[in-house]
Amino acid sequence: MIVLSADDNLKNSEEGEKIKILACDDSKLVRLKFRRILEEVELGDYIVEFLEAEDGEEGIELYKEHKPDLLFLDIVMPEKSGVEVVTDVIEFDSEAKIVMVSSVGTKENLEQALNNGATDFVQKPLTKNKIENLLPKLI
Amino acid sequence: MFSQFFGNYLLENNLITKEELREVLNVQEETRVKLGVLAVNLGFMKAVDLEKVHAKQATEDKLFGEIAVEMGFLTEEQLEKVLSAQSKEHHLLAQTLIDKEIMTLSELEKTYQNYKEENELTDEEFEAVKKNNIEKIVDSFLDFGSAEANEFYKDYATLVLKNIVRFISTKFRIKEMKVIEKFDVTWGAYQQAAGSRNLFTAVVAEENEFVDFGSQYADMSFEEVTELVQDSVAEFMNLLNGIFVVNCSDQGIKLDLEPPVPIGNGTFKFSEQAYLISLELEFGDVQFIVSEQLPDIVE
Repeated sequence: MIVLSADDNLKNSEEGEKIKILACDDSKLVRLKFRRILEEVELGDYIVEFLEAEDGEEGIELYKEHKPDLLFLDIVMPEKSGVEVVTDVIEFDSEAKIVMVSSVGTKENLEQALNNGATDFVQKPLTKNKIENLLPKLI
Repeated sequence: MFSQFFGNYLLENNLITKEELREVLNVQEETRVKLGVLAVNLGFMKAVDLEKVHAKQATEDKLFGEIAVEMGFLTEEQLEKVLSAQSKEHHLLAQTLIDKEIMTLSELEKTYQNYKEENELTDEEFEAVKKNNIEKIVDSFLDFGSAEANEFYKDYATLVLKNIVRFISTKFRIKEMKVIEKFDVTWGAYQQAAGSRNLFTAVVAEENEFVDFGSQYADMSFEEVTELVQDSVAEFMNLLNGIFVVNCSDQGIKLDLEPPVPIGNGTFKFSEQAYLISLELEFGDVQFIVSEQLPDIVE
């Protein structure tokens, strides 16, 4: 997939369906790795606009501003946890597709996130394989 | 791993020189049965898939198993089986020591016996060490006092070692474990959890080792401590502790994990027991700290 940042100018000649993905994780490394995985994923001619948020508040803000097709959300973050962010995003957009990405897959966390409106859960670390299995279900 | 444990023992007892040990370990590496061949022999993979993995491996700096799983040719369970079939490392070590005429077979037997006695290992424990069984290694080398504390901390130490093997280095040695009250950190990352018990965990190292640790986990090459290096070490802790919290939750112990925090030049002060486990990895030493008490942290 071709991955562009929000401020990259899309060339008109670029062909393919455009999708917006917002990654919300307090770790810069995790966001960087995620972007690289998306670049490697082979799922046809998608052009991904990749947005990054480093905490829950910024995630909600960017979601409202850009309305991404997919939101990947960490659970354990400072200030606002991912599970809380789900509630706010769903309140704004009940159709939001939210994938929880976390190392803490406890039943409580999963149930709460899914009850709040999350679509799916992926156990960290993110790998190309996991993303290739997941994306076709969601886009 | 057994080679590191046992090799170190040979070294400490002047039964082998540093140069000889290095040579033995190198030869062993070369003679190691190839994972791919084993996977095909065990019927998990086709030869044609093996070629695809090798082609990919030529362009990516990743382990065979990792790529095979990513490409969907092996399941995690199959990989475990292949790895355990491969880990007859002790046979290779013995063979190499004898081939290189460093020891005779009867000398080796006697040395095994001494090693067992000095480490107070039963036959069964020694077999586990030889087969790189991490649970048994933790059980044999670490003792955290009371039975209840022992179980909690040993579970944690086992998970640390499994994640070290999975993400950082297949070669490790437990150098020592001690009780600490205070620890001065050069570089590190800590993470706390609170709930029906408290948990404080940290990984700490000197600068070079910290950078190497971060590089290994991120699978990127770093030269100095940067935000990405700190994030990488912190994310290793996050992953490790995430699994631990899930395991605890399955046992009815509820823990809420806080985000991991990188630290440079600080001090942890404990008023109760905290354990420091020193590990020697391929690139140097790192220490893990674990305690049921949340310390004062001075930065």
